[in-house]
Amino acid sequence: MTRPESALPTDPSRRAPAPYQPVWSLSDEALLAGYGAGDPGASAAFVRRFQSRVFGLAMTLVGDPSTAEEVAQEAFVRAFRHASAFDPRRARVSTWLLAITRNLAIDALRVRRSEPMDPDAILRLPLVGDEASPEESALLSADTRRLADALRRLPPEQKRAVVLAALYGRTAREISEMDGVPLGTVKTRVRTAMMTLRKVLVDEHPGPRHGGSGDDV
Amino acid sequence: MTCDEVKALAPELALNLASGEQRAAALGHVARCPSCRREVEAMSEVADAILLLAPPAEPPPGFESRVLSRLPAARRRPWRRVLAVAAAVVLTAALSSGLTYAMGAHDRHLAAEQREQQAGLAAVDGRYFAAAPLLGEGGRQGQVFGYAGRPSWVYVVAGSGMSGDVYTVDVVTSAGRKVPLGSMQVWDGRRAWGALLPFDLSRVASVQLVSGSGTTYSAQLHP
Repeated sequence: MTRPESALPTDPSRRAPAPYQPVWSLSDEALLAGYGAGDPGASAAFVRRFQSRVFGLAMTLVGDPSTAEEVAQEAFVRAFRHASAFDPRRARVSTWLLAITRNLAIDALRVRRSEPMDPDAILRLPLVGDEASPEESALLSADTRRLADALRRLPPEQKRAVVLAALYGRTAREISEMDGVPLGTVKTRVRTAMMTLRKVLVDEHPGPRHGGSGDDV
Repeated sequence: MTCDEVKALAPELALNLASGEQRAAALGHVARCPSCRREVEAMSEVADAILLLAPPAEPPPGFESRVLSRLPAARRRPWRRVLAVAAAVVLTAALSSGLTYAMGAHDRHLAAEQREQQAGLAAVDGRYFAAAPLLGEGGRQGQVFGYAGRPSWVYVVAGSGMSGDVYTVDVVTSAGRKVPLGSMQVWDGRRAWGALLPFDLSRVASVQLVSGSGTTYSAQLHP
């Protein structure tokens, strides 16, 4: 039943590191399962692991700390309610949780604002790593850094179209009306931008999808 | 809808910009066409990754406790159980490294280790641990640990030889019944995953992992 390590194949790369991980470094998926099951330890660890990203996205989108906190709190409550529906084949925990946050932020913006969005504000939207020191920048995943760089380098009209759609949940028709351009032009801009962004990820990762933010063992 | 049309529409599908009719037609095609499915998935990953570009920001002090206080109280469980599970995980580690250490060492060291482990188990109402290699093509590909206690649980560690995929994890009971536990995602290299068992560990004969492509791994916890 129990086999000592010395009885295992002798390839040294297979024998290190130790074949276990402490509870506090559980994968994102395991932590979400504990959170959804109502485990207090996992719940605290889950909120702690994701709160800065959830609040950061809410703050970026709604721009007001009080509304951002309401949105972020509600995102965690929704994640708790829907944890059992999370499917790791369809998304990472981080992007699933951030999609919930974005949708709630969009709802909050729709309630609060009726005035048109300032086109320049979208172009000035802060992105991860904007003013990061070399040390902070090194903490970002290579993918995130490359994607942020690629988004910064997009022609302004493409960047605006893709940010409005991906982050603000605007429809193609809404973007077309806001920018005063035909619907087909918006779709072309979005398509071109997405192809450019995809290229920076795919070129570096020809294989299957890479890991989330959970710690590898 | 043709492959070229679906591929051209993939960015709009990923960003929810396609009309309902376009979406329905494209998804019908994607269900039958693996190449277009990969294209749409790739674009969806780009759309997802854009969400990660917002700079993180620390929420105001007390945020964590305000969130936790909003979770339904009826489903929150006492610390004792969490501590039991945490202690058991630590004990699994201790048992694993303890046995490695004890191999070839003097018997009294082994006895001392075992006494400590038994005392630790008793402290959390646990009975025993089991561990077995996770075997697949090419031999051992990981480990599976089991804990018999209240609750019982299993913990799967995927080795670096296992390909990135989503694995369905089932336990096979001593009566031959297959019980699904959940799914475990392996990306690159080692990965670990655990789940509580709906019954005692002693009823588990083996733990099986099956990848999306059908590759099967199995660990025999009880012969």
